[in-house]
Amino acid sequence: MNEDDADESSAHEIHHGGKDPHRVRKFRKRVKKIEGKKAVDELNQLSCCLIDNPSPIDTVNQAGDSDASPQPKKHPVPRHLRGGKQRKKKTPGIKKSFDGYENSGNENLSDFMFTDGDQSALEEECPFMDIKRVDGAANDSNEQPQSIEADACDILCDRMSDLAMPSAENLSNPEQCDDHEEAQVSFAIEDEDNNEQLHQNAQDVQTPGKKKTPRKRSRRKKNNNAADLDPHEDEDDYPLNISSPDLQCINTEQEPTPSKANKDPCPQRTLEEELAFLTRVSPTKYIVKPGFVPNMKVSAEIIVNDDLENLLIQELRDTCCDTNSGGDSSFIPALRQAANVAALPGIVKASLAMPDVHSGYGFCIGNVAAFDMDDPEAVISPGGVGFDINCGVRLIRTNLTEKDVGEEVREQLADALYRNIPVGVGVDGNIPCERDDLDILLENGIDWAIENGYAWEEDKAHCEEYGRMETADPKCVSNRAKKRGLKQLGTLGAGNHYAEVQIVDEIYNPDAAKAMGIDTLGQVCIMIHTGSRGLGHQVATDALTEMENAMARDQIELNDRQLSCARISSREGRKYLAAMSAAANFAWVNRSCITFLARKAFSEVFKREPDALDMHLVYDVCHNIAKVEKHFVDGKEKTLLVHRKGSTRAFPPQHPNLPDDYKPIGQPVLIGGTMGTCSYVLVGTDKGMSETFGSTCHGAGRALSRNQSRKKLDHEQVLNKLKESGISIRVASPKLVTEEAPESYKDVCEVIETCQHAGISQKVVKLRPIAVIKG
Amino acid sequence: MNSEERIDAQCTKPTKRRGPSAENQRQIDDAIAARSLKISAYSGASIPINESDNDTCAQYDEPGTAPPNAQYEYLNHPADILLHAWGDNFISSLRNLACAMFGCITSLSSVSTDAHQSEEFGRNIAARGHDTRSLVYAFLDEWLFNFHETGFIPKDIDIIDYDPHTFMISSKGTGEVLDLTRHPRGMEVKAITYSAMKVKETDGRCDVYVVVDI
Repeated sequence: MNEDDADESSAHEIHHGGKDPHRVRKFRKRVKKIEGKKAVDELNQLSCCLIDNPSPIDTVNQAGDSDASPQPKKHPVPRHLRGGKQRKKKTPGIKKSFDGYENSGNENLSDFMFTDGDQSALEEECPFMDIKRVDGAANDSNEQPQSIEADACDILCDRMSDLAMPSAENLSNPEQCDDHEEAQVSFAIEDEDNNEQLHQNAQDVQTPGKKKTPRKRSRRKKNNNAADLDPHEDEDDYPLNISSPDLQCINTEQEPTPSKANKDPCPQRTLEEELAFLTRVSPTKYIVKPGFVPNMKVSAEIIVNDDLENLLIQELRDTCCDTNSGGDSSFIPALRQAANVAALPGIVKASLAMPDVHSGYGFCIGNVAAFDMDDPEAVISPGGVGFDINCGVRLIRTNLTEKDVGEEVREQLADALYRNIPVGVGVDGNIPCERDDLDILLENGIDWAIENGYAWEEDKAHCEEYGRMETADPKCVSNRAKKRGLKQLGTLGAGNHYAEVQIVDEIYNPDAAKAMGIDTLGQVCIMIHTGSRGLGHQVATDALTEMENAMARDQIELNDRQLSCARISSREGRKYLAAMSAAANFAWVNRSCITFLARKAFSEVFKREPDALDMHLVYDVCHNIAKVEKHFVDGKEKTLLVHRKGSTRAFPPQHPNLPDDYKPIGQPVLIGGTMGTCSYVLVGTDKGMSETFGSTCHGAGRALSRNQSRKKLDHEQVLNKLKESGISIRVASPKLVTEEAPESYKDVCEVIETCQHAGISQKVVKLRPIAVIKG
Repeated sequence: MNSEERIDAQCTKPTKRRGPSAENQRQIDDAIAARSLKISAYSGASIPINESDNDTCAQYDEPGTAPPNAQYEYLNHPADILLHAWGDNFISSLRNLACAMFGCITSLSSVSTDAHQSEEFGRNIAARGHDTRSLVYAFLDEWLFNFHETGFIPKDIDIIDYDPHTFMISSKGTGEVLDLTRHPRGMEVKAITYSAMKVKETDGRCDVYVVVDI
């Protein structure tokens, strides 16, 4: 961004915050705080609601979000769903937090259901929380402590029982009040030096798991149990009476780890022996019992159908039990990777694999794993997020229909998109952004894009996390990462990333589709699939290097060195979480910038404003990310760090994290197909919430390796085939299209059907492409 | 389609689109115009395939395919690329490994040597590890980062200095900056991984395996 623009944005801030322009940058957190207070005051008046005792938490958190984009003032729960009793929420003085939410007008804060009693314990135990607080990036909405009075709890309880959400006891836990006050104090002393100071503190407490004994006896007990049980389980479950040294069946090239079983030479288990660990518990679900790999703390659950099952078992056969294949080209099969994840410290319930699972780096692609934030041993893993942090998909609707986009127009659209959106390797972005701006961007996420006119204000509500993770800290992002990011802002990238013009092919659920603004067969939509580009890749790279060391220090036992991870509360863990959040924010801005360019391209072709084309964002999902969420595990509410790698969040209807308009239908889930195949819009379900931490698949998932694709397929044939099916295509590297050809992937329809049968998501709309641009 | 109604229903208050500032808009337009000129050089206006890839780049190897005499190859991996490079010793296999990585990004045979650019961007790329694996990782990562920062593609790499005790290495490369009008575009290497990483040293031969994330 050049000077003029910098001035302009400063001017904007001044307008809101009334600060000296030269100090705006320096004190932007403070400014935001002031803005936030103003916003709260204004909104108070507007909605005639009272805040009994507005806490600084509310204020600051609102500040963050209201800063660049005042949200439409809506109640977090749609009126028709609130019921008579709930309408009380509108009346003044019922409870602080609800009114706080209401007044903020920010649905992001409507996580009230997810507040918990454990929070305070967590706060005490986990220095990470305190840091975030004072950082001003504080209070990720998911962890926000709130006190909610009894009647509110009554109201919530009904829904909670349906949704497997926090119990009333947790919500009204008296400890929270204390917690509130603590937070107030923290905020009161906020100043510029605080970050450094706290980072220092953070460094001092490098191994909280060791220094601090768990406060709750029950938790300790649980850990002991886990530790005690494990070896037994390994032995008990072991089929064919193979002694425990034989457990190890990981590829030989893996580095030796402290794990007991790893000390022993790699044995050979026959496929039958391997398969004995697999139990099919339902037509769509497999369970891999502990013992399959050493130290499994929980089982691994795989959601499959018959075809996918065959692929998985084939993979297992190819890689594990064949003595000849232990050689040069071997990799760890997805099943074993999912099992290795189940051996990570602090994992709860199960290591889950979605139907589009395939082998990945550390975690398999399609892996969902949740770690208990209250467990001091619990870890965060860059491998569980992936290199492309916050890679995701967004869908933009239009009011055009198929007849508006004849063959000629398709070509024009493909050209216009290809011209406007930088694609492929080695291409720099168009969006001006100076280094100073980048820090603001990393901290503010989509708010930066709104502020600078690239995103619409309405876009924000239709992004996961409202397009901004509060845990982000630009200071935790390395200069290298920033350098890579700066050049690539507003670029699509290469590989499987694309922008597609799509046609609504089938509508399975008209009501849900209507809520998303999709009501006609043949309606034209735009799908964009990209992530945080080089910035995210570098953040992951940096973290992997750091965690290598952290693992040695904390003596974390792993089956696979790729699963490098650090305790969530360790310095590396906190740093990665903050850097990952910043990279996630970058990805939202990146997708927003590409959306801006796509809107521009459409506007050029149709000679109408994007508004006149109704080019609203339907939703934006992330499928490579770790988030702090509340879930019910074994009847108890827990604060979990849910890693989704190649898996999409799919929250059920009425989930408080959803924006108003999607509360009745559940979270839209966007599944991008592969080049030339169909894409889907799904919605989350209650079953998914309880079984898979509210997650579903993310796409087709590879079936052929890149080399296999290239050997088997001819790029001209692939391109001609697309052309014949009426798809206009612009690719930066046409010879590589074979790698992304539909034949190289699993059948996305199969994957979607499997999810549908498993009940973890429901189909709403099927889309087929008419124009594709990709790297 | 009653889009008007829908807009009303969806957004309670229609917002006036501010758009980027005039200056930013101008910069964006300029950047797009500049790129369009390049595009027309390697992609016909309405021709689905980039023409130049069939003509000018046809004589080159496909990115991601090893030339016949190269001391590296690309092996199967489910989603990414497994690089396998070899040489007489660790150093020469590292050199080949870096070439293998850049061979994914473009065709090395299309890259010529520009002395000025080599001096400016390819000089003294140093890396440090704490063991052999992390050294391999750091070495590739340094070159990859250098590419992402400067666009420099080395055609050939020389190891200037290698200390097997401190795991430090410094290297220089000769090549040129990626020019999309001349170099075929290949895969985007996102990152180096420890996945399946292996260094196998025997008498007179060293094999290195690294998976790069695509």
